[in-house]
Formats: sequence, structure tokens, C-alpha cells
Amino acid sequence: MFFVLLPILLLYFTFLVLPIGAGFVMSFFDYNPLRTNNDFVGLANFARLTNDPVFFKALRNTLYFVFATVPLNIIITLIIAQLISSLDWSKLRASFRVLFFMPCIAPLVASSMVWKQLYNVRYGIINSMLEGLFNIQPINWLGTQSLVIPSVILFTLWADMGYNVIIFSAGMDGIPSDFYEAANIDGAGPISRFFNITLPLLGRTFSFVIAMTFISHFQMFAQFQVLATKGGPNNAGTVLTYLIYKTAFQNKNMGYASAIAITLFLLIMIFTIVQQRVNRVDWGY
Amino acid sequence: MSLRKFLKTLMLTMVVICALVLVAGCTSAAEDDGTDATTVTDDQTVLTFWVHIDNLWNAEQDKIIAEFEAENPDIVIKKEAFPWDDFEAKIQTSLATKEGGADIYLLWGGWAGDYADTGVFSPVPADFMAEVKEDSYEPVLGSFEYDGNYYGVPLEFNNEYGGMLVNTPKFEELELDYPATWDEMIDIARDVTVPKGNTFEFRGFDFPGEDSLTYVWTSMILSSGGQYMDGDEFTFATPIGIETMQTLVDYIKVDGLTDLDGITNAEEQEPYQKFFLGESMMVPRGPWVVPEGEEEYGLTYGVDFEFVSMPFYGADKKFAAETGWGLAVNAATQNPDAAWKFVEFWSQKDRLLEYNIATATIPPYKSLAHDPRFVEAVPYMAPIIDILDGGQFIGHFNTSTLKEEVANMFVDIIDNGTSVEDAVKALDDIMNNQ
Repeated sequence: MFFVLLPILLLYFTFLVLPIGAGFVMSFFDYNPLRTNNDFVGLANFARLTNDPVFFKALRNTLYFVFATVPLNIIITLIIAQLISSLDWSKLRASFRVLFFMPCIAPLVASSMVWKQLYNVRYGIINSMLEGLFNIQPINWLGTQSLVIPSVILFTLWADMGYNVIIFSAGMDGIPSDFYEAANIDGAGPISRFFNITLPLLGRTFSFVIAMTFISHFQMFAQFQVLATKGGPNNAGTVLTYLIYKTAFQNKNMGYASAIAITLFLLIMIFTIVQQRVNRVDWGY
Repeated sequence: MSLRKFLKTLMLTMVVICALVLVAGCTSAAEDDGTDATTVTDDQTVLTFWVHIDNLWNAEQDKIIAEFEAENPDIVIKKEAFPWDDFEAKIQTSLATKEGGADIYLLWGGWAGDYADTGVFSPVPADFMAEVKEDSYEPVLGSFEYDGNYYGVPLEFNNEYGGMLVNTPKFEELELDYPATWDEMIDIARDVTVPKGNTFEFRGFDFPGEDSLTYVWTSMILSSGGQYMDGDEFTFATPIGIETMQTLVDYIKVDGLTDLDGITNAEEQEPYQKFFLGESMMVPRGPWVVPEGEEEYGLTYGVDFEFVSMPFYGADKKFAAETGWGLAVNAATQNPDAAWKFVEFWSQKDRLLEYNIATATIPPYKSLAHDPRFVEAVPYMAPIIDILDGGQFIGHFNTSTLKEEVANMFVDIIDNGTSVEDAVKALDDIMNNQ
């Protein structure tokens, strides 16, 4: 049995465990891959983090993005999944699921490029509509400090809803129909059935969705790279993943970039552990 | 089962998309010159040469390669051109692996500083370098130098200050002469600027660009008798540094000559590109944008626009310039002699002059810049040539970082109301802690 698992374990070790270990070691060096000798600097890279205003700005932006996007994503996808599940015709249900999943198939970079055009100040369709319908002057969506993260959030909601719609749909399909039949007999309406049956019985699905959505949103990069060009105005669109990229590949300071990456890793790990404990489900149906 | 149907539909969609991507997307990362298709004999040395894709430049490079190969039949140059966005990453990755990559690189001077202390490039042979140094302007060598050695040979003087694009039809319509002094320039800008809601119908003086903001500011400091560095330390927070930054801030906040679009990247258009669309009166930029205006925007030089001298802010005609494009040889090349032979061939004065004329770049050598053939062939370079002696090497640091931090500081002052003094001090701190 062990030999059957060996290939995937090797793959996992080579492409996941090894890079994480290498990054951890690198964070203790003043590391530049072009140099033959790289000095050991101990905890200096981590000490520098505490005195780096751009790191704190990136941390704040990351938390803002994650804690605004994930709850919105879950609420919206839950509503959509419920609406789709309530449709009687199965072909229509499948069609809607495909429709909502389509943005997930498109590469994030490509769809970000399209949205960048939508957000264009002078020629973008969003400003044209606002001006045409409500006579609102053009808004610099991606070039205004207070608007760049909300603009990325809006795009991310559109691009990333599909997965959770599918997972919630699968969860809803798995709830035994007996509960709903009993509720119907008791005279429960659709809203009452949703809050008293669907929502509580989606506990396991919820736990999974929340964990995976938080983890993936902490790690999001492509849309920030495309939409918040160069970290946005005055770093207003800089998140930790972008800061890692910029520090490692533009400033060629891989030691410091590794220290930021380890911090992000710890942040995600702590958050996931807490979230798993809070949302622990120890029952079944 | 609806979920199963969904998965089936999804799989089908993905298969179709994958097939389309396979058919349409299998393009090579680099465009090579087809040397592989030609026969390379055993006694020939093959050198790889990496450049970025630029139709104008690539055509001239091909000409030089053909001339070199005709004169040196024992050497074959295999040129590979990469998309601009990937070019630096390709160079970096190839050098980091210590194998593969190219024998010769077309290298941006601003990147050279990052590689200088790593030993990845071969030092320029002393005799050749002595000739290059004798005739070169100071900024063209700056980043290529490290610890007394030089790791690149310049192909151009990269200039982003001293000239500006002017909207010829608008000047004619208003019967205005091109400004001769800084004050005249600002007065004209004030008169012609037309705001439109949150943006502009027409911008008078559109200086906040990715490069231009930093170059305008550093020149204002230098021409006023100040400095922005003391040895390796950044010292923008001097009275002159603060006063000149306040002046630039006032052009936005008080005079409203333009806005921050050029540095917030929201429209993916630099100020000079907006200029070519007829949206501004004056834009500071290097002369290399002139061919773009003609070729990409279909404008006629002398009719639709001109490139003229930009007045200096202070009494001294001084400005900062970074090291531009040059040639560097991989320290790991198996054929260093052949590689340097090619670089020396390219650097021969007449050949380089021809290259500079064809690519609209300023020659790195004083003798070539003042060669009458140059200004005769590229007349719009005339205002720049006269001020090149006032160019000062910008400094040994990552220039992209400085430009980015200056832009961030400018946004912070304008949008967040941070005082100029605090913002400039913070800039010094950030740059000195890099």
C-alpha cells in the first residue's frame, strides 16, 4: 500500500514540503540567488518586518480584503446555491451552475485584464454607464487609494463565486428530503426551512467552505498584480502576496521575502486552526 | 442527477477550451532569428544573444549581426527576442542557474547594479574599456561599474530630462512661442488647462509620469544647486528638496495643471501617450518617444507635435540620468573572446552612430553625440545634445524603487494631505533602509 502512495508523496514532498522548508531556511539569510555566498543574518529579516511600514500596510490590506471578501462570498454563494436548488427543472439547475462556474474556468489573469478595461477611467464601461445613467463624473477606480481594494473585491466576488456555489449545492443536495417533508407538514415556509433545516445541516460543508475560502483569499495574487498595478497608488493595493513577489523578484531580496512568506504562512495556519476549532462539527445525519 | 450533469457539461466545456488553448496558445516564448534552421558547421562558434522584442531595435540588431557574421564567418550569432514584460525575469533566472542563458545580453543599466556584485557578468577587457571610458558621458557607465571594474558597454545615453513634447497645433492656434523659461512654461500651462469633472479635458503640463516625476524633481534640485545624495545616503529632505517638491505639489493642488493619472496607472497610459492623443499641451519625456508618436499614433513630427528644449528650473543646467542600454557578456560563457569581439564590433563608432540614428537613441560617446551626422539625421535631438554635459549619474541604487517610492510619496502628499516635509523625510528613510 505504501508503494502505491509513494509517487504522490514524492510529488507532495518535492513541490510543497521542500519549498516551504527552503523558504524557512532562506528567511535567515541575506539571500540573493545570483550570489555565490549569502550571509547568515539570524532573525534580522524578521526584526526588519517590525519596522517596515509597507509590510504593515500590506498586512492591513490583506486582512481588509480577506475579511470583506470571504463573508460576502459565502453569503452571496449560499443565496445563489439555495435559489438554484429550489428550481424544479434539473436541466435549468445544471445550466445555472455552469453559468456561475464559468468565471472560475477563465484564467484569473485573463479575466483581471478584462476587468481592468471595465474599470478604465475614460473608456471603461462602468464609468460610461454611471455617467450615462446617473450623470456621475468618471471615477478613477484603480487609481484612488480608497477604491482600489473595493474594486478588487468586486472582481474577486465575480471571479470566485462558482466554486462555493457548487460546493453548497452539493451540500444542499445531500440533505435528506425527510426533513423538508416534515417541515412542510408542520407548515414551515421557505425562509423558515432555510434557516432551521438547510443552514444547520450544512455545518460540515460550511466548515470546509470557510476554511478553504479563507486560505485561498489570503493567497490571492493575480488580480492584485493586474488591477492594482505596482501595488496601487501609495501601496493602497499592496497585499502580502504581492509584497513577497516584489521583494523577491524585483528587489531581489529573497531572504526578506521569505520572512514575509513565513509570516503569511503562520497567519494562515493560526487562523485555520482557530476557525476549525470554532466550526467543529461532531454530528452526522 | 443534476450535479452529475453539471460535471459532464463542465468537463465538456473544459475539453473544448483546452483544445482551443492548445491550438491557439502554443507559441514559443522567444522569437529567434531562425539560426537553427541554417546549417552551423563544426568549426563555427555559436553565440546566443538575448534581447527584448522591439521591432525597430530588432531590425537594426539583425543588420549588425549579419554584418558581423559576414566579417567573421567562424562565428554565428543566435539572437533570441523575449517579450519586454518577461525579459528581466528571463535574464535573472538564466544567470541564477549559472548555466544556460545567453552568451551576450542586451542589458538595461538600471538592472546592472543588481548583478554587479554577484560576478555573473564578465568584466570588460581593460584595453577596450579604456577606449570606451575616454569618450563616454558619465551617466552611461555608472551602473556598469563596480569595484573598479566595468561589466557592460553602453549603447546609448538614456535621457529623460531636458526635452519635452509640445502640442504644435495648439501653440499655433494660440499664437504662442515655445517657452524659454520655467515661469513661461508654467504660465502657458495655467492658461490652457481645461478641467472636466474629476479629470481633464486638456492638461497644461503633465509631469507626473512613471519616470518623469522623479527626473523633473531631481533636476529641479540639481539645477537649484542642491543634491539628493550624500555618498550612499539619500538626502532629499534638504530645504531645496522640500521647496522643489512643494512647487510640484502646488502645480497639482493650487494650479490644477494636471492630476495623478500618470502615476496611478489607472488608464494604463503614460502622460506622453495621452499627449499623442491630443490631451495635453506639454509633457516632459525622453526623445525616444518621438518615433512612437509617428509610428504608433500616426502623427507627423513638426505638424502635430514637436520635441523642444525644456527650461531648467534653476540657474544650472543640471539633471540626473541613469545608465541606459548596453551589452554584457555572461561570465559563464564558453566563448568569451568571440563574445567580446561581437561587442567591440557593435561599438565601433560609425556602426554605433548608425544604430543610434536608426533606433532614435542618444549616442553614449561625446564624439558621436556631437557628430553633425547625428543631428542632421535626427534633428529633434538637437535640444538634448547641448545639455548632455550637465548630466549626472543618478546613483548606485535600484532606480525603479526610487521612482516607485517618489510616486507613492507624491500620492501621499496630494491625496492624504501629508506635509511635504514629513513625506520627503519618510522617502529618505525608506530609500536608506532598502
